[in-house]
Amino acid sequence: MTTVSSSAYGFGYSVGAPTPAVGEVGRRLESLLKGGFSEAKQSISASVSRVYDELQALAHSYGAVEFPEPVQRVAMAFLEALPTDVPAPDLGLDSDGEVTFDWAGTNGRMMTLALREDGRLSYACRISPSDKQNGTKVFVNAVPNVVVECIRQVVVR
Amino acid sequence: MRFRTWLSSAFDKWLSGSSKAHRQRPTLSSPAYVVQGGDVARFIFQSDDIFAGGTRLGCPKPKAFGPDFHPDLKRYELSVCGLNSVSEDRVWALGRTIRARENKTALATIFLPSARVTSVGLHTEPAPEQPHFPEHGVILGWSQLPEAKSERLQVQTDLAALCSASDVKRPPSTK
Repeated sequence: MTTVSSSAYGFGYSVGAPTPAVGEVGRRLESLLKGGFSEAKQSISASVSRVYDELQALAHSYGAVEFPEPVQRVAMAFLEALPTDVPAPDLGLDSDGEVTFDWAGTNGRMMTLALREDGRLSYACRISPSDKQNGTKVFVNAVPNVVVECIRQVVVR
Repeated sequence: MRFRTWLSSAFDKWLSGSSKAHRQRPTLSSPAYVVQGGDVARFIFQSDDIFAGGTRLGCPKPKAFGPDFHPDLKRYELSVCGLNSVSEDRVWALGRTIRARENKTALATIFLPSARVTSVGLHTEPAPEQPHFPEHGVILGWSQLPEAKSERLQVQTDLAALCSASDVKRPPSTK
């Protein structure tokens, strides 16, 4: 549900000047999360704050029981691990408690990914009605290549 | 008399073995809201079920079609509202009441024509479990293995790709 979007400079906001890469954003957000919500809010830049706000809003809309901090943390780590040329996903929370990341391209291209607290990563990619793939991987610090390739195929212009 | 007893017993056994045993069957007098070839709608209660930006702004995300596991029936199913003989007012009245206990009101519905459901290998069945929601139905045909989430996501993605922003209907007060 985040409103961040891709830019020519990678992960960040679509309006204005070049924005920080996802790795940088992710690292800062992760460290901020570890330091606690209230302290984090005061020390981050405006652009990073918007990402933070979106995630916090999502967490708030679901509540701490449905969207606990460990799940938020793994979502942060995933964002951190995304390559810098990959646009920001639309975030969400699945009914089973997994964080979802969605990318949409033109002509029905779509990639959805659900990340479980333990790092299990379920994904489905649709390039065309006859070109699809899905699978399950484990996320440990690095985003699996097959997932990155799927995202790139979906968001290609 | 013995035959009647046997017949009754056999019928009960058949019912208990049926996957629909936990469902209340529509009576002859009750209208069918979920019918073969009929359209259905999926209620949306979370705003993150809809794309907030990008090329598919306002379109449903795949997660909007995430089926839940029914513990008694031991199967994945996606709850929908049958639209056969159901007025728009009634749909929104249901949207306000069916999850009122959780303080949730439907933010939108996603219109799903029957052909779209069947085109991704799924089908719809009536499931009038609750007396106040006889229009309830379920979309079935999902991979049943708990660990096969990616396969279900693939079907959800196919379904989402077939939807447009115009399939997302907002309640009259928010239009």
